[in-house]
Amino acid sequence: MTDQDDRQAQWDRLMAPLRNPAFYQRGMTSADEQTLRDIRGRLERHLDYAAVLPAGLVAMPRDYLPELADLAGGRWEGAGLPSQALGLCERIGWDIAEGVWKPGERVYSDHYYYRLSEPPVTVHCAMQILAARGDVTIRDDGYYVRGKR
Amino acid sequence: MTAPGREDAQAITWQVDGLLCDDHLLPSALVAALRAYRENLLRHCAARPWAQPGNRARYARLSAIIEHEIADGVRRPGDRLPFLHLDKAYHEAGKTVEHALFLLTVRGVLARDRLTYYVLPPGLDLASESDIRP
Repeated sequence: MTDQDDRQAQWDRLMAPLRNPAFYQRGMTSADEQTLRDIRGRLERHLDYAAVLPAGLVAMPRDYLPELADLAGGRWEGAGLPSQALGLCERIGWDIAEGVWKPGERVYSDHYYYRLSEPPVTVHCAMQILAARGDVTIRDDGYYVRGKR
Repeated sequence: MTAPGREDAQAITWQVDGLLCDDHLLPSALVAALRAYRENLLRHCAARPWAQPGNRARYARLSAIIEHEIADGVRRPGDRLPFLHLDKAYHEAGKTVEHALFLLTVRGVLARDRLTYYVLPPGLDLASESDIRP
């Protein structure tokens, strides 16, 4: 067994709790909070260009910004997971394009947990999205880069 | 619409793309407005002098090389553009590569989705073709 296989086995143990649906029902997570920060930052950077943007495209984000601070009623609970997972999908897709993972090669998903400190649930969701898109295939409990279609 | 210059247009397009990464969390009307604005901005840019063939700037020469590679089938429709590879392969600064890829997006050769550039199939730029017909 290689070091990478050993790490993958560790990773699989980490992933086990995610099969329990109760895991997903637990209020605001760090992914939710991060997503709110990301959106707020992007809207604020967008407004940096207010001088050259159409008035409506300045007013709409300004109206929306205060809503990001309104955490009442659980509105933002669970909002972060798909958002962070999609962001990670792009990172992995980028790595595939850059040749970090080559066609036919196994993507060691735990890499993103250890190196980027992404939560296991985010990495799992990202890999499943990539599988659904056809960028990777699932084989022997692992994710493998698909060749060009 | 106020006409932003090339660098502002590129920065705004990037900002809008960044916002659209979270389109499932933004109000639908805002998403629709951002998409429409982005499309109009690119179309507006396509008519600017810097987007025309013959631009001798470094980024424009790099964009012409990439465009030839696409025409020759070295890069095929649907391919992602490996940003770091372009940077190294052509010994160009990251900024030059960014400007070149933006120019190709304006020309309808590439599409940028979720922060990644993809090669588009040829002949998709129907809107701008109909605009220039008498």
